[in-house]
Amino acid sequence: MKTLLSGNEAIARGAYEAGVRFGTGYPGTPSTEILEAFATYKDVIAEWAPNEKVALEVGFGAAVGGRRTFVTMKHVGLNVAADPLFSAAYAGVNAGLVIISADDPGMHSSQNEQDNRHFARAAKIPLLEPSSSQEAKEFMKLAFELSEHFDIPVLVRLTTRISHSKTVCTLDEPQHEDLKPYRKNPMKNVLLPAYARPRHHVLEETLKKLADYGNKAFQINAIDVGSSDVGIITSGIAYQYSKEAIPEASFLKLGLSYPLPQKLIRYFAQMVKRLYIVEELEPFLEEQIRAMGIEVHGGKDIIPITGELNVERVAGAFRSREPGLVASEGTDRKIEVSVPDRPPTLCPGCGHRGVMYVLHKLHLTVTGDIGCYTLGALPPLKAMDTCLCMGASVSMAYGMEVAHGEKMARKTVAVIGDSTFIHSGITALTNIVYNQGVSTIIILDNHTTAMTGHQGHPGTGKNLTRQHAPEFDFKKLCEAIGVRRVRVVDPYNLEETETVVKEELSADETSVIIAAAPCVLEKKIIQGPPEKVILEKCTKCGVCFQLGCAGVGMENGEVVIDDLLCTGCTLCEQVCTFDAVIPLTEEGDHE
Amino acid sequence: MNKDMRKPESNILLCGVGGQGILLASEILSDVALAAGLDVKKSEIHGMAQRGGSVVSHVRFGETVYAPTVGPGDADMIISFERMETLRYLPYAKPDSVILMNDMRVNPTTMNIKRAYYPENVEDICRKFTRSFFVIPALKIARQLGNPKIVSVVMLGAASHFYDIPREKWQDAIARRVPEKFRDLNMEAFKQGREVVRQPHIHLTLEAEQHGNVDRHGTAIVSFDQLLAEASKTPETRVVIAGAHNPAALSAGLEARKLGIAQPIFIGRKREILDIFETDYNDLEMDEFTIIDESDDETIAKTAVETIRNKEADILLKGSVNTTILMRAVLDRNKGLRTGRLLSDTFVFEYPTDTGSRLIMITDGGVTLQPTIQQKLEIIRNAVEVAHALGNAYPRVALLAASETIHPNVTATMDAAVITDMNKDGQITGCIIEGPMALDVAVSQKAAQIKGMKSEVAGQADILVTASIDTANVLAKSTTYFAGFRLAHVIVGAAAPILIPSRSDTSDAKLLSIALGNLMNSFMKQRIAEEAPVS
Repeated sequence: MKTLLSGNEAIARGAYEAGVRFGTGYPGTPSTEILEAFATYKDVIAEWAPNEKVALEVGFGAAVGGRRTFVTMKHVGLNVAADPLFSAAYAGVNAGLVIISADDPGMHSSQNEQDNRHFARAAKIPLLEPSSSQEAKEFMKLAFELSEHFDIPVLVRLTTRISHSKTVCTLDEPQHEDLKPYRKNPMKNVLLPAYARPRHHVLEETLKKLADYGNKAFQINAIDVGSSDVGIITSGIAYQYSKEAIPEASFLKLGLSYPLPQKLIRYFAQMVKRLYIVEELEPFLEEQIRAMGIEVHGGKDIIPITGELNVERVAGAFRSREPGLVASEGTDRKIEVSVPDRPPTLCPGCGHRGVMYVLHKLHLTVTGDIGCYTLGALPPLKAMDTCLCMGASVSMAYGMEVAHGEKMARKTVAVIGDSTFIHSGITALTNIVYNQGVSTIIILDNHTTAMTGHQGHPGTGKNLTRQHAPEFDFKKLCEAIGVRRVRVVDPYNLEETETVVKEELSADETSVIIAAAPCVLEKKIIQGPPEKVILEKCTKCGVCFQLGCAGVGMENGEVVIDDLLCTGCTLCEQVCTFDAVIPLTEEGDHE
Repeated sequence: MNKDMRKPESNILLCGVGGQGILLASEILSDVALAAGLDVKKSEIHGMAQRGGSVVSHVRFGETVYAPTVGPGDADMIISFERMETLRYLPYAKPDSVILMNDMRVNPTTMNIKRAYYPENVEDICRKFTRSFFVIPALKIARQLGNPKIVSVVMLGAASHFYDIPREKWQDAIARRVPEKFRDLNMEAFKQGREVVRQPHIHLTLEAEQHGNVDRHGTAIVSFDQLLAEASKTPETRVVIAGAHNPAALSAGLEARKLGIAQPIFIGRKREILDIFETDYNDLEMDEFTIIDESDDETIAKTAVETIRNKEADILLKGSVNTTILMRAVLDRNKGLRTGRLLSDTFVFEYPTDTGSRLIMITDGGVTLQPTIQQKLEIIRNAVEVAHALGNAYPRVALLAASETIHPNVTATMDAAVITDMNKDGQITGCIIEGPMALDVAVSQKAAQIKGMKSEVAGQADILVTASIDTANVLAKSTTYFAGFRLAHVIVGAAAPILIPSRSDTSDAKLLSIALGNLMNSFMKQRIAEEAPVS
């Protein structure tokens, strides 16, 4: 049966067809939908872990225990999981273990565009790069075969365009996989130095065998014979762009791109007169191929190293080198007006807005974190100084304090979401208490992992399939760590929020403010009647615009509130000093 | 139409703002292509882009598709859900691209902070880029069908016209993606979208209308003072007063004249009329007025109707004449003012709001005792015409009942449900109808929110339709007597507006009714002129 599947859905389907019944991970664009799609299959367990490191360790435990398992995350998530990853390669698996890394070239929803193919090489594990949904599904099955056959975890690297593109897929029947028995084997699974040293030898041997396998796996590392003048070595989505841009070239499409199939590459290189390497982001293949002593006619010298590729970027790169093979450039048709940006914004009624507004108003230094509230960095709220990685807000606030002393701490807060706090903020908070800092941490608890599409986490009381789960208590946890000042505020009450923030900034010890407001988008919350502007009272001072709410705008020279967008959160009513904003209710508004 | 475009191979960009249904439309489009046996790739960005930002989805289909994205200058079609977003993706177009643009504007929040402007001449720029540029009034069609969310299906309907893929494949793909209960609605949306590009003249009139009514209430009359001002623009309107020997009716006629709203023609007992003039208006020159001397009610009624039939008068105002006798003359099969339509009374009152006021209508408190569903449709049609005459192009109609629950034993609720559906299906146009709903939900945003209703009508109804004459009559009079609101009312459905004020109505109410009649008259004349065949 033919159907359209996104790369993420295809990964889930591939796992299911491979008899996998357990998957875990941490949500992160563009990887999130994999486990959600997997959860729709019968008799499977799909779980969110509090972070990628935990997910990979759980996955490793399950695989060593004898159950085929896959673990999903976005590219930066693999940084968090790097610790278990590198050592798992030494220990090997029992049942198959496959790690999915969804990279984000072009940084559509990420803080960097790291190329996780490097991780495969650094951790010494095989790397598969599908170029379509069909391949994603097939490679998933292959990944488990390889993992078990070579006794090694396998990395499958997706990119945003693979994850989020729907392409045609043929479905197969799922196979059944028995649980493998678990046998004690400390020489393999306990990585004491004495046991780990021989494991390194084993690992190097395994990589040689894998490379040899790659030389013969013509279905995975496929040669597509075309022009004998031009040959292109490529992998993943870059294959699709190159094939469309230079259809007549010969191609070596690497599905198993680490360890490199060196013999096959040498064979292909001598087939063609001029060898090119087209890859998105890093010169991962190129550097290794050049190191083999093979002449490369063009690589990163013509293909950009930054950003996402597309057909035109590849065609453009080849246009001067191989003019006969590339279609001429279309006429560049520019429009003569500039189109204003339409950046993402906090939703109307969002609980983060009140806190961000207060922080901006108080001119504080704000160490920020990863989540919807990062949008608070954009004008007009401009309430964020830093955003680095998951959990860094809490650690960095303390770092600022150490750098500039207590005076700085009086003007600095960290803001971190509930999911992010559980992911990586807890240890950072422990650090502040332990080292007797006076930092102020604001946990923006919207009770979901909002930015990735409302996934549950240990603080929500709901698991991945939205069934009931025990609910993590932020207040008690902070108290248990040793934070004595834990305050809960209503972020829709600007006065209260401002007072509490000021009080906690002046406190002589670590304090945590929990701004509790469920995500309006997830729960489709309407807080009250929509607001309305009384034009006679409005002086058009623009203070309500400082909230950056899409519901408040200017039309025909008047301030208007869109009653369809407005959720009645009343922030604009609270900031208006002329009482020109009132709720749109009939009762009592007229005599 | 460019014939090349009809090949079932295409690069399509769908663009707009998060939450407009772009992803659904691209899913359906991909399903259609797959069902047509083609290779398909579809690509879009999730995550951060969803939060109110600009959204784009690429759909490519053909024999073999490699890259999932469309390149600049390579789009065969751009389906844009928002005006400005069309410009953003215009560099993807080529000279023979088809560009379909939903006529909807969503201001970006950056406009408020950076004083960014919103490009105004979108159409002109687009037309420079391609010969095949269409403005699709998808939002308007969707609203008329009662659900702004089906914009995406209207746009797909328009797109479907350009592909040699059987219509059924599109309809099947849509049916699979939408809930069963909305299936018919979506099919209608698809059909209307397809019609827009198939019959450009429809599209052009829709476009014109759309531009006239970007702001639904921008041109609507919201107060009685405005009503009087508007009515005074056509001072040549003539009102015949049947039974003018009634001080209130007579003074209303004179006041209307003074304000330039209408010229009165008095029919009645001349002696008594002159007496009133002498006592109350001895400053007026009698010669300037037409006074027809008739003494018995029957002749007064017949003569008044006759002046209308002879086009000597435009509006009929009841004075001192028996209502039954007057209506008998109006409804006379040969010499009356019948049009084949049901007559009904539309009551209008001025309702103060926090920023001013608006006009709310109640119907029918005057003609049909217990209307059947068929009669309710007529009553709604009449009231909607009054709303249109008052400049409210899309009145929100609430079908009143005791609650929002549909119960088989309560006819009012069953009728309301059926009529609401008919409106959604496009069988009743020119308004948005919802019901059953209780009065509180219909007029109070707060009540609507407490009851969890977020509809186009709830909390902001313009027309309140009741299930019986008693309810409408009592409800209308309670606005006058309990709340002290000003009022006007008009009977619609005959060849001319008929004003039958209650005997106790003040001359203010009679004057306002004449003004209302004046606007109704202009509206009816204009409609007749539009419907007349062009020679």
